Amino acid sequence: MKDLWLVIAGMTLVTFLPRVAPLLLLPGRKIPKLAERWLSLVAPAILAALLTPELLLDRTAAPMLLNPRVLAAIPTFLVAWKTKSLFAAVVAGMAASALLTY
Amino acid sequence: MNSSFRRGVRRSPPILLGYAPVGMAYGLLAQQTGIEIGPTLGLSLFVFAGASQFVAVSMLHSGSGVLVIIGTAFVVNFRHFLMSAAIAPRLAKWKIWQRLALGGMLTDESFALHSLYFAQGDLDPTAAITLNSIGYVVWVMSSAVGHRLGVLIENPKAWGLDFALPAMFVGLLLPSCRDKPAVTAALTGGAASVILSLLGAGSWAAFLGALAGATVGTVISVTGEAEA
Repeated sequence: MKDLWLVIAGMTLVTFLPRVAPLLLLPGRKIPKLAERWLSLVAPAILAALLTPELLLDRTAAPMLLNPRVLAAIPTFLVAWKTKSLFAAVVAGMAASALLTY
Repeated sequence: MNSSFRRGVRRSPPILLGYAPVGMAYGLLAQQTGIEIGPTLGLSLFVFAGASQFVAVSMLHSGSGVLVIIGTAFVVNFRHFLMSAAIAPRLAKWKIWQRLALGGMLTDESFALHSLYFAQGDLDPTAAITLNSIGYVVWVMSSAVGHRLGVLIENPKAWGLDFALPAMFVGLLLPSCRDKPAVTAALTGGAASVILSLLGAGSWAAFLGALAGATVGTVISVTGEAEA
């Protein structure tokens, strides 16, 4: 329980600082081009790094390519692609996953 | 009630519709994971960043350590740094507290709306901060509602709740894959993370995989330019 509030305090710090630092320091300054490029690639890299093991590595079974989570991800990808809406993607994913558990 | 405030309120429906269901899903998931209402709302109140809150709940569930959860949250939320940097040049005339209020409550959705209005030349701080504050209140309230509703749900799998987190990653990932370096970063990050997991890197796999992905993507983008 104490750990939980430690997690919250730490997350608050590492979330708040990057959000406000550019607004406080940056007006009138420029980040190096290469650094800017690396930073812009962190988003797709971390999202894929979190997603892929969720889909492929079931904690209870051997790794495999065609499992219910991969199947549920297909309509999720299509809906996210077509609608560009986070909400629509989450709804589609949950619906597909619910249907596949039956 | 001045007109700036009303303009902020009038801009809020897309934020409301976006946050309320996701906030409820977050509260539900936290409740199902056994996290009490206090810390569940604590994350929404202090962190206010959906994807990282889902990740934290799921990592707490699998027994990850404090440091790795904070480190992963840092990487997950680092995209806000770029959004903040993208709008910073336009806000040179804003007061410090106004910049803190805008940046502290910056999200994917509010960034999209702010950049739209800023690009139209509407730099009104009151309208922008009102919009952010409405989103903040809705997020915290919907997390609480979700946590309460969680008590009523017996089989979360039948509702597809266990897929809310991966689906959210998909919804955030696709728009970020704009060009070849971004797709390379995603593919490398995903593959590295799976391999590191299989090798026993545990909770650090995603963190390290992301650093590898962003680096390989940068190399691809630099060599691509050199050839052109």
